[in-house]
Amino acid sequence: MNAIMIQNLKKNYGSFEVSLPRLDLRQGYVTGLVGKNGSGKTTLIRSVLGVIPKTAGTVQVLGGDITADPAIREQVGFVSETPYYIPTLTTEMVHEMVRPFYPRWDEELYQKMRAEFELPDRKIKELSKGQQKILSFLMAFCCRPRLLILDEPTANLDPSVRHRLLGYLRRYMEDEGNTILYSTHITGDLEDICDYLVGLDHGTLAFQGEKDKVLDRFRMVQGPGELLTPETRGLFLGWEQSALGFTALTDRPQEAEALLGQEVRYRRPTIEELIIYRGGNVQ
Amino acid sequence: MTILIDPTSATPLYEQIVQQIQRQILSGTLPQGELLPGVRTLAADLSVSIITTRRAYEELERDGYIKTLPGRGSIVSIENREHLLELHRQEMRGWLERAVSAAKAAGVSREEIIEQISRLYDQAGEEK
Amino acid sequence: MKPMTHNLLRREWLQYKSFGRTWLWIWVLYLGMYLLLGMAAGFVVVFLPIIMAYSAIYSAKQTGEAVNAGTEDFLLPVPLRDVLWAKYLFAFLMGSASAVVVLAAVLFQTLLNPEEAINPFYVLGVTMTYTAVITGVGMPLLYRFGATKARLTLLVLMGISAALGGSMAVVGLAAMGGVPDGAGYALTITAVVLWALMPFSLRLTERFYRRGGVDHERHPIVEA
Repeated sequence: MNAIMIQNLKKNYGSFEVSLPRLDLRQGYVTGLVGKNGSGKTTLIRSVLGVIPKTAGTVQVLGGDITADPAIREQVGFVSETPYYIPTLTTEMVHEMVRPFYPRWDEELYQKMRAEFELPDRKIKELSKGQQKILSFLMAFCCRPRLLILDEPTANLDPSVRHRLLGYLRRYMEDEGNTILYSTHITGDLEDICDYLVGLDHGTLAFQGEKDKVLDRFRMVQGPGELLTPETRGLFLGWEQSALGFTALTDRPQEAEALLGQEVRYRRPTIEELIIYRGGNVQ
Repeated sequence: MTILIDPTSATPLYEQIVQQIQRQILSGTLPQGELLPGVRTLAADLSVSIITTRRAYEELERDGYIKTLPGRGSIVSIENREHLLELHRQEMRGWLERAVSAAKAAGVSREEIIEQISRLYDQAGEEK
Repeated sequence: MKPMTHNLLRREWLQYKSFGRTWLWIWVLYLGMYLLLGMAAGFVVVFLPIIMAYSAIYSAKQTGEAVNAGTEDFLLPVPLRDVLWAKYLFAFLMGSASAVVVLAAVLFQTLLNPEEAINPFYVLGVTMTYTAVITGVGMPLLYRFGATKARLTLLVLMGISAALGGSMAVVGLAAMGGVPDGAGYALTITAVVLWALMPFSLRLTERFYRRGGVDHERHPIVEA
């Protein structure tokens, strides 16, 4: 069962276009969404949520049309990259405004988390960015959604809050009916928790699949500087060179090994390296 | 059940889980018939992805250490404990042969290599 | 009333309230002015409900204060039309409440100066007609062009209506020694008709809102 099914999605913003022929998010798993700034992550998320109109294509969320069916929206929780609350409202007002619309709202959980994260009852404009993010998360999480769409959920959070938030997400995934779409630059969040990985590049799909399998298609190659020649450079998607050697990413590990042999070191990239090194010379 | 994983180790995470559970089953810490935590609970507790724990359980089942009953979960179920122990013995012998050959090439004496093995054995003794 | 309407109305009210107590002061100031200046300030009888309805719409649109403030409108598990309808309803209630305040003031004045009596239907008709116009025209404008651009148009519209209404009141009262009762009834009927036609404005607003989505103000998209 797919929590989200995308077909032939296109969204045009003048010169910039997001185009995804096919993307499915499996229910019961965490799918990480990564990509450089401007790669189209936020546009994709907004298209899925139905808060912007699509130029073309279909998106099914939890088996239906999210813009047409309020029952689906009841089951979706969203944390926006920039919190969208009106600055003059207070924490408590936001809570009161949202809560009545969600029949599965868990007030006990809200109070518990509010106390745990020490969220004060103040005007939104008086809260720090991190506190605003925590409030967004609480609003998205305490309505007990089946699908959590998170855009930079741990940005601006101190390490201890981040750790606890991730803990809540892990517990959330114990229910196989729950799904998370996790878009972030903080790839460290994804290294442990994410099952599937989707990468966007200039509005198109760069890679997708089980996270470990995706990373397995690539290798980080490290070796002495002299081995980075115009010939070998052809093997690499991106590289970096210093006086002490070079580091590069290849998506053709066998060819690299054939050409460079044992004079260099090979290992799997991290998600972070995958993003950094996919763009040519990274210096 | 205690499982401690090291994210910085070169060994893949699922492999670490497999090894530790194998060890505990063979040593009897995890007795026959013991119900193991579900893949999702295990993933949450270990802070790894669900696919990782699922893979670990699949491998353990393939190698004959556990059985997964639909709707119930995974239980420890060794068909042939002796056979599995023998497999590990063979693995050990293989590694020892390579170690001995490397030791000889490096001019390491018999006493030295025995001392090294003893030390490593004691260190590894903490994990069960 | 649909089940969630009172929650949606409450949402509009809390939002409005969060912008401050200005509305209360406007009422007090207006009443004070009217009670002090009497009929000389009568031409502003139309001002109050217009200002209040405008402020209600202003609040409904959450004008440019927060980026993507409309996200919640789209994500609430309630049809978008209902969310927008609550905004219209809120503007109506603010206009009506102000009309009642104006009416009370006028009736009070009449008690003090019976010769300056104004037909209450006239007051009601004028105030509710103008709030209908502000709401019916203002909402689609806001959701088509965004708060920044629409605000100017609305202010102009407001200014013109107020001036027209104001001058009408002054001229009417001076020339006819009071407004004929017929005008009062006609205006009240006009107000009722305009408000009955509001669903058309609502549909237009909804179409504009959906067409643009959260960035219907054409803000440049900040990609994360």
